[in-house]
Amino acid sequence: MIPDLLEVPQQPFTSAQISLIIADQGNGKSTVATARAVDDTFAKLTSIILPNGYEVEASPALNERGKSIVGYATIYFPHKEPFVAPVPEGSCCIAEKVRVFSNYTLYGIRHAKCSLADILEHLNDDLLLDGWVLIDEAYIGADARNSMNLLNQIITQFGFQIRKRRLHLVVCYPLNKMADLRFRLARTEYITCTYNEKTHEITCEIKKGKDRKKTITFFAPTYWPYFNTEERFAIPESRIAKGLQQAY
Amino acid sequence: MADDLDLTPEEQKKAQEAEAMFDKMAEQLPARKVKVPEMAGRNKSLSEVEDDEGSPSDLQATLKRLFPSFPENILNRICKSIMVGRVLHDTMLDRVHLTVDDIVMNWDELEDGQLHFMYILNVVTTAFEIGLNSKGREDAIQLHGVAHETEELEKLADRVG
Repeated sequence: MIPDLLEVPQQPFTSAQISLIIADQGNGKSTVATARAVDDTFAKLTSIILPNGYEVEASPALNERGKSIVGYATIYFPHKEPFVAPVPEGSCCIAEKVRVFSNYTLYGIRHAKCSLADILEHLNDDLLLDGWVLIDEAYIGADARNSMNLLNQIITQFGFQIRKRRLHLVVCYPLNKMADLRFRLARTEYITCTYNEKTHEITCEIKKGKDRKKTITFFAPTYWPYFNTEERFAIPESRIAKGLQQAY
Repeated sequence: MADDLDLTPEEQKKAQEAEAMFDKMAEQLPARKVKVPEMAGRNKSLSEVEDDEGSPSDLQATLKRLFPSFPENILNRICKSIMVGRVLHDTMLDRVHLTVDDIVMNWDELEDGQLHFMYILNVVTTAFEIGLNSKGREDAIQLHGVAHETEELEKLADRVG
């Protein structure tokens, strides 16, 4: 018999977009989170800053099904016919209508790097509206072990407001049990992924709401230019100080 | 996004302030130069792959094999119902004969491609064999039962985390 406490409601509390990505280290959770923002940027592309600093107008390059292609753009050079071409290496793509906030550095797309402190600072203003919030290694701020911690509570409260803020929240954890319980309850999308080193492909199992699990595979190197997998995440100083206090 | 909504002047002002704040915070770093392993053809992005049909579940794959679909609309329309219908032994050959006759006679009107008599005969016969003595119907029901059990197990797995 399963205790009542573990009962998960059939419907999420809100219709907010909360994607919970679970994967072991090196299995592609950062790639999947980055892919979400990169795909949206390429779908709403407005300009490209070329490596020489020159900004050109651009629009999405579409495939035969009308979906934007990552890494390609329709480029509008002055006095020239628009043409579809691969985005030059070392460029930065800009989509005016896409705001990306992430707690890690993204390359090649416009974004704002936000630490958890930045998120807290802007909770009551209109900055965190209409966009993507990518939180990698989310256990640093919202670990299931510290669920009574004030920081955890504020972060998860923010998670519950994302529908009103028209945000897509993407949180990554190495283990399901490390994810704060409230994120687990409120998630609308649950993704687990594995990386195949031989084929360089990431296989994701995506479960959205009541739909059946969908298994998809995509080529990971498409997104390698947009983030650095070696980037390290700082653990809050206050927490280290607290740990040190207990250690001595 | 924000400007697509009906905003009061005050909200518009707030939205503009937020936009300015975002512009101030935003970083526009060049894409990293990384060595991407060479693969044949263009690789699809995550959203492109997601847009395509994901790999079917075991149930979907089995159903696809058991109840095939065909590129020709006329064959699809007729055969789909035969496969899950009640086909009796006594009437099967007559029905195959009549169905093939009907399809062949209407082929030019409904389909653009060239008529291939043996292809039509084989497809129709197979469809009748699947539906013979309601076997197709029974298979579908059995599979549905298995799928239901799997769904229940998945729900249980979700509950225990």
